[in-house]
Amino acid sequence: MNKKIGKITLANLGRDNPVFVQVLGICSTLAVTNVLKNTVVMSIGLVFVTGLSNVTVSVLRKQIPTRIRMMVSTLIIASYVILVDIVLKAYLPDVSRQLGPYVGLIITNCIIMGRAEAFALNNKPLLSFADGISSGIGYSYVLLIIAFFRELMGSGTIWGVTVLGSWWVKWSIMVMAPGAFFMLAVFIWLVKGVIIKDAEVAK
Amino acid sequence: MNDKKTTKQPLIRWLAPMKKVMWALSPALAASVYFFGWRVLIMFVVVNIFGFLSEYLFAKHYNEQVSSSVFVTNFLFVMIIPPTLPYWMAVVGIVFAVVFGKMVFGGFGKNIFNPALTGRAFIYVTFASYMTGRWAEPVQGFFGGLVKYTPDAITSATVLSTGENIGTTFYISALTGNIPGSTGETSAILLLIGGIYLVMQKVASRTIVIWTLTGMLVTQGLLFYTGTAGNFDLIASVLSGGFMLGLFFMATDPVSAPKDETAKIFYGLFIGVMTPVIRTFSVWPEGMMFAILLANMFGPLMDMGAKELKKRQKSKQMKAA
Amino acid sequence: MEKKSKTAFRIRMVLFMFSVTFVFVVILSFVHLYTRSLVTRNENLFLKRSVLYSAGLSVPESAEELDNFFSENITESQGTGEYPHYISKNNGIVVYTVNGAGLWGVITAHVGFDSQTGKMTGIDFVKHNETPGLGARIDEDWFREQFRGKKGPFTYVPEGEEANENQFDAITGATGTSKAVKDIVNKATAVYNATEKSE
Repeated sequence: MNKKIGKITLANLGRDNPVFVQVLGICSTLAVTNVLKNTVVMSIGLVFVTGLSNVTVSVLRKQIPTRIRMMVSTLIIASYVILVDIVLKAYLPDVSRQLGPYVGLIITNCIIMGRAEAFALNNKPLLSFADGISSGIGYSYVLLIIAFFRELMGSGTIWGVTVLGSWWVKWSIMVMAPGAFFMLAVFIWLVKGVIIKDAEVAK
Repeated sequence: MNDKKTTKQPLIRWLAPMKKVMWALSPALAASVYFFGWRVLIMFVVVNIFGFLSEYLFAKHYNEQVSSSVFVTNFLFVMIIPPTLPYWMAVVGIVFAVVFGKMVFGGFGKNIFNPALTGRAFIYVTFASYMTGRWAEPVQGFFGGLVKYTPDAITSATVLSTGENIGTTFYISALTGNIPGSTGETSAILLLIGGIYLVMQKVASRTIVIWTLTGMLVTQGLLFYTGTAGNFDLIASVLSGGFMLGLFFMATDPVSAPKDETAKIFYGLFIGVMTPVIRTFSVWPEGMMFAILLANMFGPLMDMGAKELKKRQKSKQMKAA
Repeated sequence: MEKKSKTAFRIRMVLFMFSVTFVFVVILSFVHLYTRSLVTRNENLFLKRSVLYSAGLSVPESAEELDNFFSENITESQGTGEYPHYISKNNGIVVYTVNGAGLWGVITAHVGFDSQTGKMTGIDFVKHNETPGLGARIDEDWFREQFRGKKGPFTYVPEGEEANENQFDAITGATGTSKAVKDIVNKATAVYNATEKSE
């Protein structure tokens, strides 16, 4: 069991990474990665929602009639997203104001639905939980790397603190959505060209 | 493919039309040295080195030749950036132009967008204040920029963004190139000569040139005489903002323009109509650049549409016969 | 026989969906009710801070002090016109709530005026959807602070340039938003002038 969890986790972080291999969740990658802070909150929200919705779907998997499984998963996911939204509004009002509509957008993140559909419906709760969490983390670290460079280049800051002085000319395209396209493209290019390619050759 | 690898090939593949384009551009470039000082020449060298290097690295990786088109890209790129742009920004622009504008699509002949314009659009959005707010006034006097490294006077606006002082003096200055603007786009007359040479040599498509000009004049005329375009009359709009450069050297780029003659008409019209519309209504004054990039995007579609149209006509004729 | 089982299956589906929905709705409603007072309180505090900020008054840190200070100094008024505003009795400051079209959506702002001099005491953006990193920089301190003590109608100059009494520094790369802000402060100025004259 433990071995299996480890294997799933590793796959989700690397070879089957939801962002740079399956190319899922791109919408939010473009939307929230211009500032690190937003990205972290988005990532935490996503890890939370994927983990819990995977468990819930997995627990109910034998009861859910196949025909309406999508409806049920959507309902479950939506409930958790609303939960995140309410908690943010109540306890972290500033962050909630900054993220605005993005929290609601977690629900449209294909990673969650994809994991529920492809994994949780056929696996035991604990395993599904591990899969959900690791998928979320696999998504998060890619986003954090992109956000790090976008914030650094676009605003000259990291976590809102000015790192690059006034000599730095801000690359304003980096804080716009197209900047994320280029960053993501370069990232996928590097990863697939250098890391994954080696793995495939070794196979 | 295999014997291609074994036989030693020259590093650069020279294509005759590309050479002609460069010849046609040279006078305007020389004029800009006269107007903006020797820095332009250094910029030209820097851009060429980095443009060549980015293509060379890719070409080496895929075991291909460097096509001479990269020098045309370099040439055009220098012409469309402000003469006082910091060197490193120009480097960012040209590397982006070659890598993201051309090589990621599979190299020469496969790019959707005009590489030089892609690079310019990138730095235009990225370093907006450098690209739109710092223009050099041409150096005055008999020797002009020949005794200067770079012009002293910086103005924050071109005629395209202010729309002021349009009159005979401006027409003459714009014709000769004695106005602030991008390095190579200011001297309309030299560009015109170069452009006509290209059209005569059949390097640039006559269809595109004619229809772009038509679309532009009609739309601009409409906007001007209804009062929407301010005091931007027909002559001023043709002479300024790199319209000449775009018309002869970029809209006619054989790779990113459609191949079909009918499609070329639509392509030219599209650019011609969009340029004044973007100039007048958007926050970005550089209508020509965006119009060409947009048209590039629809180029393949226009080709397909034209082909489909011909097929239908043919089948109709067959039926009739 | 077969038909019956099909109906049974359908009914089971509906019942299942219904019960799952029911359970989740109950849970969510519970959480919502539990946090509702906290959420409205947060929003209320935010609004009060914003009004005080744009009135140019000091904003107390703690929630309790803020409440006291606000109720002591500010009265809310629907006013004569369509613009709700807040009045600070002691200092003669009026704060208007003004809407304007931003680049992506409506921008709502509090704009404060000193009724003795007619100068602005400050501005704060309550709600906007501007591009993060570009237009959203209207939330930055330097941008909001620059309006204090200035008088409309306004025009703007490029970011980093010296602005005089009727000008403000625009945001580089966000011409649309800068224009929207210009319209909003000018609208607020017009509203202020109109109400001042009528009163």
